[in-house]
Amino acid sequence: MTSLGAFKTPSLGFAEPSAENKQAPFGTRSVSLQAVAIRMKSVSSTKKITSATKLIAATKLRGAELRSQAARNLPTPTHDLLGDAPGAPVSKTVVVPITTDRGLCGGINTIICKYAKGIVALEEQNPDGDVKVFVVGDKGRSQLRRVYPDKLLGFTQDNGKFGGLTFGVASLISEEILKAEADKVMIAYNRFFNAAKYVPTIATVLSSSAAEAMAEEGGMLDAYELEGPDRAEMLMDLAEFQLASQLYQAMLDNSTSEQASKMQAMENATNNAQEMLEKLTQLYNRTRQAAITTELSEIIGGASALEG
Amino acid sequence: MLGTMLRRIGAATLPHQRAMRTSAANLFAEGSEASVGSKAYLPKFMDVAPSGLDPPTFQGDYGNAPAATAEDGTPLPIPEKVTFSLQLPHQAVYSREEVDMVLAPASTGDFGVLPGHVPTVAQLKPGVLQVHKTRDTDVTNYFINGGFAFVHANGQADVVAQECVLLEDLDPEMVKQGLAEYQSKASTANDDYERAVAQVGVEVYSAMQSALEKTT
Repeated sequence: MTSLGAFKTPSLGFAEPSAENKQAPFGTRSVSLQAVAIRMKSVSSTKKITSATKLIAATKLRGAELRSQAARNLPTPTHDLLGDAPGAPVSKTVVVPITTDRGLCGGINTIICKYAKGIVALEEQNPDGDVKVFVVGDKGRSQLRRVYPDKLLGFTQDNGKFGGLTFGVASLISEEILKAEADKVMIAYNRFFNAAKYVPTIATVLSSSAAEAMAEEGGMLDAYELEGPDRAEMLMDLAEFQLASQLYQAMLDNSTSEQASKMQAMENATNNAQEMLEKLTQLYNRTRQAAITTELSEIIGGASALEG
Repeated sequence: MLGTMLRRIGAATLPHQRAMRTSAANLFAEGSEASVGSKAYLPKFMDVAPSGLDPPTFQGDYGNAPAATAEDGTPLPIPEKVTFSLQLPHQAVYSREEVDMVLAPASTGDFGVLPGHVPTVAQLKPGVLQVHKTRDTDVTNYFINGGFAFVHANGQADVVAQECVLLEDLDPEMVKQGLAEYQSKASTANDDYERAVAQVGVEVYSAMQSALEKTT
C-alpha cells in the first residue's frame, strides 16, 4: 500500500492528483483523510493554546491596569516643572525603547523599535552628537542588536519576573542608564488608554546640566524658590528622580499595553484557528462522504451486473 | 521670519508676558521652544522615521502644569483651598483634593503650605507630612521617607515620595529596635555602601522616633 509520504498534506480544497498518485493502488483516499484528521487535531490544539493565552492576558490586564493607573502621575510634577524638550540640542543622547520579554503580543514591539530608529536617525543628524541605545525587554534587544551593534549600551529583561516590577527595579535600571552620563534620555513606550487603544509615546528626560541650560534660555524654573541643598545638587536629584519615575511609569504602561495587545492578537488567532478548523472539518466530511458514495455505487453496480 | 520678529516685538513691549506661559509645552522662551519643544520636534521626526508610522505622542501632552497667571496676564486670585496631591509609585494617596493646609518636612526645615504660598520646589527629608483637611480639626499625619514637594502659584501642591504610612501605624517598639539595629550596623560598616545604607537607616528611624515622641 501507499505510504503517507506519497501524498502531499492536503491544503484547503482538493489537491489535483499527481501522476504518481494516479498510479497509486485503489483505496488510498483513506490516507488523505488521515492527513486531514492530523491537521484538524493540530489546529484545534493551537486554538486551545491561543484562547487560553487570551484568557490569561485578560486576567493579567486588570491587575496591570490598576498598577499603571496608580503610578500614572508619578512623573507628572517633575515633568511639568522641568518641561518636555525632545528637540533639545545636546551632545549625548540615550534612547530607551521599552519592549516586552515575551512574544505573541501583536506588533507593539516592532512599532516601538521603529520609533526608536526614528529617534536615533534624528539624533544622528547632529554631527557632534553621540547616540546610544539601552533596550528594556528581550524582544526589543533581538530586533535592535543587529541594527545598532556599536550603539547598544546595554539591555535588561525579565524586570517584573522576580517579585514584580517595583520602583526599586526602575531605579536600578535608571542608575545603569545614568552611568552613560547622557544629557538627554528619550524613552519610547506604549501608553495605555484602554484595552483597544495604546499610543506610542516619547518621554524626554534631560540631565541636570541640560535642564539648567534650557532654564537659562527662559524656563520657568526661576519662578520657583528652591528649598534644599544648593541648586546644582537639587537639580541633579530632581533629574535623577524624574528619570526613575518616568521609567517606572513607562514600564508599567508598556506592560499593561502588552497584555491588551496580547489579548487582541490571541483573540484574532483564536478566530482564525476556528475558521480553519471549520473548513478542514468540511473537507474531512466531504471526502469521507465521497468515499462512501463511491463504494456504494461500486457495490450497486457490481450487484446489478451479477443480476443482469 | 515675520512671526519671529513679531514675537520679539511682543516680548520687548510686554515683558511680563513670558510669565504667563507656564504649561509644560511652553516652558521655554518663545525662541528656544520653537526649536526644542515637541511641536517642532514632531515634523523633523516624521521626516526621518521609517515610513508608515503614526505620529507619536509626547509625555508633555499628558502633563497638567498649572498656569501661573490668568489668560490676560493678571495674577490669579489667591484660592480658598490648597489642591493637594500625594503620589507614591504604587498609589495616589491624594489626587487633587482640596485641603486647608499641608505641612511638609523639607530638608531645610518644615514648611507649611497655605493657599497663595509662593511657588516652591522643596526636597523632603524623612519626617511627618501633616495634611489639614480642615485646619487644626481634621488632621492626618503621615510619615514619609523623603521625596519632593512642588507648590505652584495657583495653589496646587504636589508631593511625590517613595513610601508613606500613617503615623499611628508605626510601632514605637519596632522603631526602637530598628534604630538600634542600624546604629550597630553603622559602627560595624566595612565599606562605603554599607555605611551609606546604615546612615540612611539611622536617619529614617530617628526621624520616626522623634515624630512619635512629638505626638505622645
